[in-house]
Amino acid sequence: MAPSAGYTSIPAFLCLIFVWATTASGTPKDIFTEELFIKPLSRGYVYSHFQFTTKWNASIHDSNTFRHYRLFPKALGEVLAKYGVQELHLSQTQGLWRHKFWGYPVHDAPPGAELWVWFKPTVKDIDRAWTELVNAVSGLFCSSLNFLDSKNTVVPQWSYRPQGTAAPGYSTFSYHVRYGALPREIVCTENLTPWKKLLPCDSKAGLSTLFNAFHFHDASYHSLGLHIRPVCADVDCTEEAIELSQSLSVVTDVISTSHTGTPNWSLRSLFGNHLASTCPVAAKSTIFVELTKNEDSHMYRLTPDPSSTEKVTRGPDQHTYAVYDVQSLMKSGRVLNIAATFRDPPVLLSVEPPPIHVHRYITGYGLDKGGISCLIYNNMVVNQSIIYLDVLPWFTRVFFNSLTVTNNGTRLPFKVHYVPGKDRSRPHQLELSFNLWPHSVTQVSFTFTRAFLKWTEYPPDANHGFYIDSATITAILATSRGYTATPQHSSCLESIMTDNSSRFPVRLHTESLLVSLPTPDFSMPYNVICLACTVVAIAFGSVHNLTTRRFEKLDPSAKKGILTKVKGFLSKLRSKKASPEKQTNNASHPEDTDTSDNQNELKNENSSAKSSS
Amino acid sequence: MGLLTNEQSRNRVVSLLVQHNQKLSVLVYLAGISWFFALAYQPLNAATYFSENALLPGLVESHLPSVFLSVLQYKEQVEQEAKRDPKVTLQDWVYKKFDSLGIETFQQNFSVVYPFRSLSSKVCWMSAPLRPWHRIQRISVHIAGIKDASKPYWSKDIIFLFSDFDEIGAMAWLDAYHETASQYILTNGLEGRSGAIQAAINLELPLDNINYFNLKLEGLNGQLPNLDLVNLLVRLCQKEGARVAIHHSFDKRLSYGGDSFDNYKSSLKTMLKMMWYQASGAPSGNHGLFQKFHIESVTLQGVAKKKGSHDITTAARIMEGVLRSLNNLLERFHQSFFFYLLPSTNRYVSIGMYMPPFGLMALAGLIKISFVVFTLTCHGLALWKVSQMQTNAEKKEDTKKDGADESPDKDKEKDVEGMKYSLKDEAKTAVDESKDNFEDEMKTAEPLTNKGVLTILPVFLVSMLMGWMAHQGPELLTRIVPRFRIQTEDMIIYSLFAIFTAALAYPKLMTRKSGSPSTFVIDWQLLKSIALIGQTLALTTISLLNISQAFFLTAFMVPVTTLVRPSQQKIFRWIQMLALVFVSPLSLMFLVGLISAWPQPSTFDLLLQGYTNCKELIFLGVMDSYLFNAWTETIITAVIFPIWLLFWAIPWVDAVNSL
Repeated sequence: MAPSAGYTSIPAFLCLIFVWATTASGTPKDIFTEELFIKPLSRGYVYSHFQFTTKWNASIHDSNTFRHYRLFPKALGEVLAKYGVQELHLSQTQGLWRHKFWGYPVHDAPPGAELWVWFKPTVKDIDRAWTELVNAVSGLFCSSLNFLDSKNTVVPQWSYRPQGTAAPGYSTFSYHVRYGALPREIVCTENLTPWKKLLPCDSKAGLSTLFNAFHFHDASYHSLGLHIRPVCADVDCTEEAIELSQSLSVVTDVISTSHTGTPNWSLRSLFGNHLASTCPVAAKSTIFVELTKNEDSHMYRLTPDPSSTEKVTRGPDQHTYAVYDVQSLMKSGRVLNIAATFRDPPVLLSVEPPPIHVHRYITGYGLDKGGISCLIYNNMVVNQSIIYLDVLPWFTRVFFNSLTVTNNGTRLPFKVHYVPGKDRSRPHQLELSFNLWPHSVTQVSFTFTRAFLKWTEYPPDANHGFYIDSATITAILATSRGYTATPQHSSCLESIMTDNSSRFPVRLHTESLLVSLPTPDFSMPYNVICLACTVVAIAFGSVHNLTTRRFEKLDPSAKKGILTKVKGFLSKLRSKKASPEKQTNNASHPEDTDTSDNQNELKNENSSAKSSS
Repeated sequence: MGLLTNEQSRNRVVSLLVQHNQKLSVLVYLAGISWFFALAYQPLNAATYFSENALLPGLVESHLPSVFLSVLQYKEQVEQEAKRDPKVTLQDWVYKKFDSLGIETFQQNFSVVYPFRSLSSKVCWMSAPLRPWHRIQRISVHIAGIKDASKPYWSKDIIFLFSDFDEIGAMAWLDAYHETASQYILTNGLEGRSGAIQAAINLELPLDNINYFNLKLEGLNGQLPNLDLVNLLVRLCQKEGARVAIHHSFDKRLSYGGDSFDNYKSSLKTMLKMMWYQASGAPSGNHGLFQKFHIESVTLQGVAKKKGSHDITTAARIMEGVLRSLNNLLERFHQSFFFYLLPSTNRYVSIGMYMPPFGLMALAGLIKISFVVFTLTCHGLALWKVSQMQTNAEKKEDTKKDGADESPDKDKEKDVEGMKYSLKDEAKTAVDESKDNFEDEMKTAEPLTNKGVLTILPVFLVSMLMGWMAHQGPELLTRIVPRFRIQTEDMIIYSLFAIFTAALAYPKLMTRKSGSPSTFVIDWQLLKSIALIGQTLALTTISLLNISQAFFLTAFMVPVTTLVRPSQQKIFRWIQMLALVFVSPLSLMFLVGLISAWPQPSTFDLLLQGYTNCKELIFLGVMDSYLFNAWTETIITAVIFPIWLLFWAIPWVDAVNSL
């Protein structure tokens, strides 16, 4: 850990003593920090990002590591140990992050759930480990991750590289990685509860006391993240550590949720509560507010005054942050309610699109063919190379020959890795790498045809449509405009303050898409059964009757029962009534009777023939 | 099941059909048409209901009262803006206003490439006038809606679309949204998109207070929105206490019973009005184009009156209710009906109810075919049966003779003999019957040279060619317009006239070519049966897509085409020709023009206006087919016209020589 420049010698000394003390007691291992990052976005939106980082100075590859726990959650550790996980990245998100208006988040996440895992080189059967892992993780986080079977799992070739330390050559081949997403997964309180149980203080103390499910689900966007990776324990990277980063991002539409209609916000208005405590086991408890755009225009004022204001130059761009050291502020025993008050009349932040943003959509209409187009906007003055990953379910069969990457009518060359799907077992995977021209819009487009599902494969709400995962765009930018993520070596937000890198990796998730497939009318089987039964009953009955009837000759002299006598009497009566009509008929159509007589004779003959045989 | 299994009774049915086909087809047609009209009678149709339970319109609790003031405030702002410069299209103002409200706002430009080379821009404007004034109310309702749209309970994106040039603008946007290439409407790419659109409501609100709301449902090619969406609008209008009508005709008050004659009359009027608009195949409002993309859509039109009882806030509340109800939807509209007719706002006639009467009407033509087809088949069938039975019997006898060691089954032999006998007998009767019938129809024996497919092949080919020319004509012919310095609409109607007149003369022309100058000799029975089959096929196919179009075509064409036949008497020939001309596509078009121009002071005015309307109608039909891919023009020119031409040949046939 590298303390920031503002530290005086005494706390540093105390810190050293603390470190020495813990080492002496035999468990020098883990450090927990809690941080909150607030960034006012354009048009009165506010982005709040809670970052809880546990850094555990132990090797993930050491089998003895997961035997004794302190701050690191045991439930998670056991899963990691059992399935040989080296890196695990899970996000559960409700809503869509709008890059064009909001810039980049700390951790980008697609709508729904997303899980990608790098397994240890020691794991032999990765597919089996993946299947078991998703079931375990699904139980741990109360989500339907167990639906990540072979139908929607892919092995990304170029995207989703390991984020932490790894042995040389480990990621040359993508043998150890699995990626899957469930765009339809709905994230709710039942996902928040198990997630926050992994925090050392739960939501009893510290920044997590601001968790208010009601406010989160009222927000325009909220995302739960959990990332585990091996990192360097120190600057020289002589020893390994495990980093567990738990993050919760919320974007609140302040203007429409406030009663006054003003863009003013405070911790209380955002989360329904002010801050009254810090987590006792946390090494640090900090709140950052990004003031970058407020520097020149002074649109709002923060109260109380921050502990310090940091100016950081990341790449060519400068960022300004107000830093609140919660632990020292809490010492005075007061509650903390950071608030931003806008000038009257309020001037809202204008939209400033980030260097790259994307827009993906379905093209065409009807239930036969369709297409997907993805517009990638490059707002920079330089070329930018990107990797595009698109995973489509098997029932949208991609026409690979229709794949084009165009820029302003010109076809661009691209490198492609394409894994065609297999019905009911493998999705279509499309990975492209190409260059974006400066200040231009590049369009990736291809067409697909929709497959028929078997009638049992439709979900109960078949007419809702079927989701297609978000596409992912990975790029390494040279500018940090709109960038909020931490540098590579640490997930702690405070590491931003000392960041001096010039390359900023971003991953953008596009919109997930909804396609409707040809859907049968599910009341149809019922109708068909009714109709078929009727037809069978009528046609089959008469044909059966006709073909199986036996004509038998009756002996008129045989003894008759009472019933037959009555019948005979009745038929006599009937024939008496009918006879006058018959006579008139006979008179008018002599030929008719002729033929009918013939027929009768024939019939009699037939019946006698049958009966005799 | 005697009908299926008993040969005797089957023959009786066939012979009945053959003997009485004339009477039967008339009867069936009359029964069909009167049944169809009877469907508007309340006890014969059903009350509408919500099939999609998720809509829950009753649970919508309006949040709008809080923004009522702002609606009115926006209305004033828009009015001021419009007054400042009446020519301005308000585009920029709306853009800025929306942007300032924190809504993602995008502008899209489009241009129309005219399908005909030389059309002056004037016509384009005429067909799609720019009407900034009409949209004022719409805009303010929209803006108020936006204020409401930022509430967190919305589970779906709401798109507010303001388009110029009415339908062309909407089409341009839809094309860009779905990235479907259009040949004639060129669009700029669209930056803002959402997912699949579930429903669209098109608002046409006047500047003044609203007297009542009018619903327009009919879309392109007679497509209709899901009945649930219509029900939803009707229900919400009623909830707000607003009167709602379909094509300006109200439901009769039910105070004196739903099954009264007055009520029937008004229901029939409403139903026919709806069918009238649907039959045209042209969209009755901006909404009509959405249906092509499987987006359920309706136009809600406010009809103005100075002292109307509802102001703009009612419209705003209705809109809010609609949006809130649609917000509840979990799946896209798939329940309820897509094929229906509405005799009033709360009654409907579903496809299951209207298809049987329509089927009866179309059946009239098919029954008529029986006179040729059945006699021919009976003839053939009977002969075939006899020959087959004979060969069978011979074979059996042969086998019996061969297999001498097996005891010959005398009974069986007898049986076979008997059957042979009976079938011979039947065949004989069948042949007799058919002969009788032939004699009935033709009186004299036919010379062999007049029979066969070859005689009618030229007629067939000429008809198809004429149909193709009528279909392709407008585009080809308008290329020479500049040389004649005439309006494109005029050019189109003149060219169609020319093709039509040429087509009228074709039997005459073919007479000349066939050698003997005064006779036009073809196998007219065969021609008529092919034409009838073709007509029935075409009409039933259309009925599945656009019942109203099929109904009107059937109602006019079938009686004439069914009864037409060569005649020796000149007067009958002339009557038949007149009747055929009356039901020809072009005169039907003129009839439509006349009906739409109906109340005119004098007959001359009526005719003149009818002609103008007819011209415009044809022009718009052609335009729609190019710009929006409407089918009406294709159906009329390429399907109905050639079929009609086949019938046109029949009265020309020389009755003396061909009979």
